[in-house]
Amino acid sequence: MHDSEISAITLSLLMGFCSVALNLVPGVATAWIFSRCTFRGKALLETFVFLPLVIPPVVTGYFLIRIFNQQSLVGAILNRLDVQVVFTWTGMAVAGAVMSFALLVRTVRGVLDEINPRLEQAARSLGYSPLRTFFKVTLPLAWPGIVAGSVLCFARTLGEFGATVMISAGTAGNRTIPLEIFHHYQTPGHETEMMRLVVVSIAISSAALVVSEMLIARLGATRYRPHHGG
Amino acid sequence: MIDLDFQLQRGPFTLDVSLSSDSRVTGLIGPSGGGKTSLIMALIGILKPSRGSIGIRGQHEFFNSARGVNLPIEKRRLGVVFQENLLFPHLNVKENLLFGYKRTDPALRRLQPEEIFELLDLGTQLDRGVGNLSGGEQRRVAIGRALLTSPCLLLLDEPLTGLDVNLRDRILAYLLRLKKELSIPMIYASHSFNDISTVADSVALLTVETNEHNRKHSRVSRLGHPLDILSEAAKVVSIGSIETVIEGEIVSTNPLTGHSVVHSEGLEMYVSPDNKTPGSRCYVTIRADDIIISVGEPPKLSSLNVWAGTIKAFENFQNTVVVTIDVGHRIRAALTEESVRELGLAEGMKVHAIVKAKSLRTVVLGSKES
Repeated sequence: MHDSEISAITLSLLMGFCSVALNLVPGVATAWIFSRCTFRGKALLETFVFLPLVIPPVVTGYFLIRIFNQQSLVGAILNRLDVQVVFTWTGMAVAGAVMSFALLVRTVRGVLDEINPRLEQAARSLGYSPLRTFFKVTLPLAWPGIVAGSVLCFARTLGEFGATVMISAGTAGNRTIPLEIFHHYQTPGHETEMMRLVVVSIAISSAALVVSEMLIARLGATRYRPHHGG
Repeated sequence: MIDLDFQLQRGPFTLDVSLSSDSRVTGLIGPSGGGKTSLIMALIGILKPSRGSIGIRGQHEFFNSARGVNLPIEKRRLGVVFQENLLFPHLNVKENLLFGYKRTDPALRRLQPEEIFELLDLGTQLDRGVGNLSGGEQRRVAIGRALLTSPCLLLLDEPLTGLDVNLRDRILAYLLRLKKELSIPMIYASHSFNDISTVADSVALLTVETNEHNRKHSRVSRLGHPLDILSEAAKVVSIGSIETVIEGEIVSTNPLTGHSVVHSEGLEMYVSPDNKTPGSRCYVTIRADDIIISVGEPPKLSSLNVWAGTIKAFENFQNTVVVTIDVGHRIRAALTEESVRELGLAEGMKVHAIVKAKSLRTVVLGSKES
């Protein structure tokens, strides 16, 4: 395997893990708010969060460049702090995170919706504050779903192409597995390199899917089932 | 002791509560959908009344709209047994039982785990998961979990609903045991007059009116001794069969007939329990409909239980008369108005109450749930 392929695999995995790390806490918090709270403008906020799932990734990438370039307010502040986003792997990690955030929120929200909120009321009546209830009841019941959501978030980031290519410009050393595959595809005589990465890509994604399915099955086994009668 | 005076609004539904009770067990009876659960939710702090006050006299004020008091759920120290039990599926029996105990200030812990495990016969179940417990076991864990917070008041929302007759008798026996052994006051909400009249010392009746705009208005209309409100309750809920539950001790068993003799303060009852170990404490349920009353000395009867007693009270509802007879314990018999007239029954009259051994249901606590 060439250095550029190793670098692409490393970069992809790094992006995947960074994306999960960036998204986990805000994602679970957002999912909890969507599942448990009602407030004005909630539908609007939901639309905004789920937008990256439906709009073309290239468009999202374009907006990220507009937000993070040095002429913008955010870019100027980050520049002062010596943080470069556009055309760096930091920017690629941000792109991956933005593209997969909605998927994490959706998965975790689905799991939270399945947890009987009356269980949380029962915990409150036993002397637990809302925060303590979250950590002692909600989180333990939701964790397989949270891990499954994280796996999906990781896999989504791994497959991300459109927004990543916008923010990284696809230059050498700045290519993730999909970008590297596309690069080899365009280069005559690089079929072997391309095929190797295709196999690696399938292997990583399949592994992620298997882990996710196992965790969802486990959640099904521990989900609360009310019993009536003997 | 309990002081409730509040109004709760939920869409087209209004609940008006004005209730003050000093009873050890206060019953709350009303039709399904009549606001019993809403009242309990307001007490717990899950629903917020539009005005009024909720508290325990001289001890706690949970809610007072005039003074801006509204304690959060976790600060109210109320033990709640929810209709659906709501056990935590990720924890085993012991962890569920100790869930609230761990959060209770050690200085306020009046009940200890071992005591509750023993009272509710849960000692051998502690390591089990809650998913494969029977309905009765789940209910007992829910009761134990609430009690272990040493609450200032225990709220029971339909604790016998959804249980078959065996489990119902059993949980009822546990509730009577708790009432006798512990000093925690209870509020017992149910749509079954029978359950409530067995456990509660006084009963509040919830009545519902629906006006022409389809707005429902529920209010607590009366608080009284269970039998005193019988005829009013009969207009709101179906009375079913009234029962008397007596705690006693199995003293002997006849191996030929399979009958056991249970003693309870001078009253001798012939029963046929599943568990016949002499010395066991048991709870005997006598259905009012199964009792025959005889005036004067009865002839030779096949029935084993023939108890001499004195008529203490009559309560009429619809076509039925509930007669309270003191046979060492006060038991209730249900007769038709015609029978009462023909026999010429009156207060203070000496009669015999007769009931077949097979008609008596017996629960021996500590034995396996059937």
